[in-house]
Amino acid sequence: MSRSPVERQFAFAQERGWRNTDFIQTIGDDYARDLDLLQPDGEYPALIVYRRDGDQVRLFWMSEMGREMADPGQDPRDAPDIAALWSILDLTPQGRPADWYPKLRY
Amino acid sequence: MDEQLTPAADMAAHRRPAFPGESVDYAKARQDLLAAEIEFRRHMTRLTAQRQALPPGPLIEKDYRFKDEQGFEIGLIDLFGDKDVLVSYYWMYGRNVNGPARCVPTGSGRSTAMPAISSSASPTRY
Repeated sequence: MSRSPVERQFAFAQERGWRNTDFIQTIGDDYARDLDLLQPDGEYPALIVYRRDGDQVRLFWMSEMGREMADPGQDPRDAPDIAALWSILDLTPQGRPADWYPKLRY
Repeated sequence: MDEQLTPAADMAAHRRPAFPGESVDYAKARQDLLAAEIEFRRHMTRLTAQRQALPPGPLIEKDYRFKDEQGFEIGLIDLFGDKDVLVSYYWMYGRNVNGPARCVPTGSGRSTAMPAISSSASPTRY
């Protein structure tokens, strides 16, 4: 999910060959704002697992390793990190490059 | 749980190198690393158990609204489909995002894992 138009997210997923993931767009900014994701230095992601409780929704777990918990010289990240890219780079002699990020398009 | 487990160092001692020609230094350092890797795996297993043992989290009281791929407006509960668990990831593919994307690798990993997660015992929707 994102503030980005759902059509734009879906088009990006198609371009990347992503399958089996549903995309939705948040209506208004309440969700992003309540989760404290809109910061002066940019927008932050949120990994959240919900569970159904009857006809209501309950939080099970969400990532709470905030930016203030990042170690010196590192980007905020979870452990375990669900993004395989970084784990694979960690297996290489040079590890994850300090200032490298994947591009949106290749 | 840990009491019944074979010490990681003992397990690592069973290491069998695939390729001939290892130096003594490499063999020693790799075996130490293997023991640390086994401990890391065990730590992840403990983390998972600790997460699963969390008491019920808060109810989401606010009626957050979303627009799905068909253009319909839906609520958080609707995102579950026929599942009981929902794994969600909010990402920053915003109107002004054109540069490097820290959050994208996470989306990429989900895409490939999803079919297996759907077919696992866990009634989970991504």
